[in-house]
Amino acid sequence: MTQTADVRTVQTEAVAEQADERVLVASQWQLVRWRFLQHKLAVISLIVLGLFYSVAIFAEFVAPYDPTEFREELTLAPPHKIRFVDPEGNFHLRPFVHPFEKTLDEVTYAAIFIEDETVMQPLGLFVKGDPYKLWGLFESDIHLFGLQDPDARLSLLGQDTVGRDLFTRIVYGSRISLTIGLVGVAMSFFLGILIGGLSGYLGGTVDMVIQRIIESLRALPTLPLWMALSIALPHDWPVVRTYFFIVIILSTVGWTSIARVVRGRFFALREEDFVGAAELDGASNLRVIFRYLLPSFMSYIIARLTLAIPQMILGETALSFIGLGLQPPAISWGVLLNDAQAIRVLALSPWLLLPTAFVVVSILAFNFVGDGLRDASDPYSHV
Amino acid sequence: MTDAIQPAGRGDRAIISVRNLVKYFPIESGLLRRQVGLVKAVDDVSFDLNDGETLALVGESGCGKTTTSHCIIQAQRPTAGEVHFRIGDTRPVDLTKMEKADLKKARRNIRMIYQDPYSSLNPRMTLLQIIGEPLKIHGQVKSQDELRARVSDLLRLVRLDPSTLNRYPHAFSGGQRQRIAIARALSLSPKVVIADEAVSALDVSVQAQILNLLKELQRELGLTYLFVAHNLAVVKYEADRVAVMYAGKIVEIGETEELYTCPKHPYTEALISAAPNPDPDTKNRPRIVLTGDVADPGNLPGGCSFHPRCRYAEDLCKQETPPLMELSAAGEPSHQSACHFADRLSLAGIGAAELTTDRDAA
Repeated sequence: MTQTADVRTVQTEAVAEQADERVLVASQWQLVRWRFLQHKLAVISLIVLGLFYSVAIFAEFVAPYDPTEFREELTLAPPHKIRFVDPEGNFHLRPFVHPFEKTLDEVTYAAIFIEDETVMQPLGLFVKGDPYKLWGLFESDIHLFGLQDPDARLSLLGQDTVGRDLFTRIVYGSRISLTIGLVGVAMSFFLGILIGGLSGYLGGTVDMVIQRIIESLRALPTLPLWMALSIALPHDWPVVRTYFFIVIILSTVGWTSIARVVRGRFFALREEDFVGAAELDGASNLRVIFRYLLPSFMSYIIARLTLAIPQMILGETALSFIGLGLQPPAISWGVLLNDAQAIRVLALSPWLLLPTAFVVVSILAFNFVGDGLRDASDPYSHV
Repeated sequence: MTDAIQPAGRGDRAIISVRNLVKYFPIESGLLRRQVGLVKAVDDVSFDLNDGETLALVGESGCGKTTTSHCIIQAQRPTAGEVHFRIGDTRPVDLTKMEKADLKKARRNIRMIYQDPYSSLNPRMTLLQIIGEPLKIHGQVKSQDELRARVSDLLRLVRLDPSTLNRYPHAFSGGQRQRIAIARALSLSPKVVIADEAVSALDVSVQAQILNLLKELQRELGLTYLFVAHNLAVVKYEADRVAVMYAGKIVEIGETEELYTCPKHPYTEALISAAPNPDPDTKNRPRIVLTGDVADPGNLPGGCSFHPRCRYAEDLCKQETPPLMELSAAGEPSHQSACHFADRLSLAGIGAAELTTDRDAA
């Protein structure tokens, strides 16, 4: 039995080589997390997204004003300069702004906003302001930040064409713009896994019919398809219902790519020996699907989904921008940009384009997170 | 041709009797999936797997040996034929006619080891889950503690450290993974283990370890092996009997030593001469190089499938398919060959001396 003894020594050596016990007992998700954390840009993006979503969740609290409250005299007022040093040259620890004084240009009759340097309006945290109901439940009038004088208006990112605070509206707009991606992708995910799974699992004629449908859908250019579908939505519908149907419209195309991926994965995985082994073990179809097939490509699907969210956000923004998506009084980044269509805006009130910055940042962040997830999703490729 | 083989159920020691097993795959083409041909992957194969023995199924890639093993365990349903399975003195049951629920029970006794230990273990599960899965599915354990105990025992059985049961497969080398696969196969205390090229994907040094382990386990647990392989050196060491397959048919079957020293089919002769021989003393034995490709099972040549590559072929070989015939006298161990000239040709095997040196070396 010297052979057995040899075998044992070989093994103890092999085990000793693999010193890092932590890696050895790490589950797939732990490995994914470790790989993801190495992707610095993705981690930063994830933090940015976390920030964006917390702002969206606590919009009433974060936004300094009511999104519909307008001040006619402040129509198209530019952003305030936040100051620490007063005209006399004294430094103030607490930042302050000078209120605007509106005059008219005597030649063009254009409104000119001049800062009134005699008045200082200090900023503050947790200030009293417009009353609101957080999530329609908790009544309050405390805002995260704002001017200490509740009647004065802080113009952080400027005012819009009817004198509403743009920053406030961007904060409220993030609710729709950021969630439409999630809801849309969740719907695509559901449809994609269901239909793609059926296609891959049943194969044969079902598979062929589903694949032809997917091909036809994908052959249609998305924007005209979305336009056609959204024109069909009645304009007198309440905001929530329109929102829901816009999501469905965006998902009509979104699910196809996920269905394809799922189908391909099903086909590939069914050939894997461990799936065959599970079938021989006596595992039922459902057990095979839920314990073997789905976990094997879930990480990959999640990475795909993260990359699909920006597409949804852009879709909503584009539709709303051309006036076919959400309509005022709904607030989304696309609706806000709709205001910025006139050339006059570009020339005189460029801050109305600021929602674009938020669209760009959130989409970049999603893309980086998706990149990081995709790289990390197959932790076994390098182990 | 089947007269020579004992009918099902009467083979005294047969635990599995394969009778006239056929597996055809249709070749489809075009949009309407019209059938334009047949791939005869397994074509009328019959043999017995005796209790406690190791039968090796050898042949080139694509000869149908893996399909045969899959048809036995019903991982693929055969097109025709019977697979009788019998434990002890019970009545044999035909696996090919079984419903899913009965098959699940039968498969407790027939287990499979796959070729590639990197693909056969779910990377998302720990050893405990992988090896414990069959136990759980078949309701063999009552509690998590019992499961841990059983899996630890199994790990010890395949000479792995039981403390590793919370690790994932990525923590193990190829040889260790194959041990895990063996532990999974043994978890339900089977009678028969089908090893589909179980060592082909491993390093030569690791192959020897796994082969030794399989032999030890056979001795300890009284297992019966169906050993699918293409490596004759491995087979020589492991198998009691060998069945050589070519183009979906068994062309020769016999005791290992008899078949190696005294082959009765030209294909077997060519296979043996192609196997690398590590012994310098017998290095100069003639090497038979086969010309042409292995027969396409979708388009088999008429007559004996091997005739286009056979150096002894005559006109008869092109016209008539030779049946598998018994060559040894009554009372002697069976040796069958499917060659028209099996009793006339004198074919070169390896010397008996070489066979024993190889065995000792291994």
